[in-house]
Amino acid sequence: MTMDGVAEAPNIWQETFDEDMGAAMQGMMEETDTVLLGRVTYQEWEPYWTSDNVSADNAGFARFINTTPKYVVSRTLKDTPWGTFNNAQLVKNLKEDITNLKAQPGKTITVTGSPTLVNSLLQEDLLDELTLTIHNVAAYKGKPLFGQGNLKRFDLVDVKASRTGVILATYQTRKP
Amino acid sequence: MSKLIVTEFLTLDGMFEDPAPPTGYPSSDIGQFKYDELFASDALLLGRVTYEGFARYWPTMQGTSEFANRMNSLPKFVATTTPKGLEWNATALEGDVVTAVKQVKQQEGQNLLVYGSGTFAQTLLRHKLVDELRVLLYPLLRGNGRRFFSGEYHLPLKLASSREMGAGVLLLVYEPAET
Repeated sequence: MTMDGVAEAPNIWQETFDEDMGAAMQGMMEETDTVLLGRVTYQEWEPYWTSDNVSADNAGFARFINTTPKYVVSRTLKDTPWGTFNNAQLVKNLKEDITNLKAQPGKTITVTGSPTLVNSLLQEDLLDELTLTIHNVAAYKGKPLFGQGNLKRFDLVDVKASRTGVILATYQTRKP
Repeated sequence: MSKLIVTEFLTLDGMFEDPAPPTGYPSSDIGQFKYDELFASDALLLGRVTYEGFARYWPTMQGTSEFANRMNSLPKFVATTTPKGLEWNATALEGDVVTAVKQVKQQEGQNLLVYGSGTFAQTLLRHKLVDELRVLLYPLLRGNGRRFFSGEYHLPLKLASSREMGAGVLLLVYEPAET
């Protein structure tokens, strides 16, 4: 997000993707064995990441997102194919399904993009950790990452500034 | 030329409350930082709403700390369209506020400090009058309230420094980036 909390349209405000951000992304991919997406992100990402238009720079993320088991949270979708890869599975009942999913052994379940879903998970107290990438720009325009909701508190567990001045901060949610 | 510094307490969802830090995050580093910041400044620039809150509160704190005493003794410049009846060692920024702030900046001296003052701070940012933006970023989502950044603008920044202040609070110091 931007330093004023905007998550929408990073193509407008994101200037850099430096090696430190790349390393953080790599770390995230290595510790993730399940990806959770909101409907909007699913509908944008599925055609893009399964197409032939993905540049060589993004091949690592394409491989990750295409091959990692995925769940899509939606009340309206009927099925959730993922190109020629294994289908994503559908989550209809957020609280029950995610609680069950979290109870299974394994590595981390990661949500990428999907601001609406992130807010729902936060409000339902289903999110354990939040990693923010705070870009050195105030965008003013665009949908904020965090919507309206109840007050939520966090503990800062890790922070570093990337070489181009982007803050990579990891917070744990405080359980109510 | 004096340096103009905007200094804010923000939450992760970009909210700010009438310029006071969220409670429940004790940190001696923050106290020291706010103290040093105030004592490196020789005037405050405030929007009307922040001025009114401060002018009610700080005189009641006189004598309780060096910080409070300095808050009371420093000259203040207030952005207001109703300049009558200013107290608390304050004078109005008369006429066009941008021109008036430029004149204040021309004077030699220590830093000029802006606390809170959401609307006024946005005007200063838009007119490129801010030399440094200091954010104490508190580890919470307020969920609703007023966002510090408002209106239509696009502000590229350079991260000058960042520091953990304890209690999960980050100090992020930005300078406007060359455009």
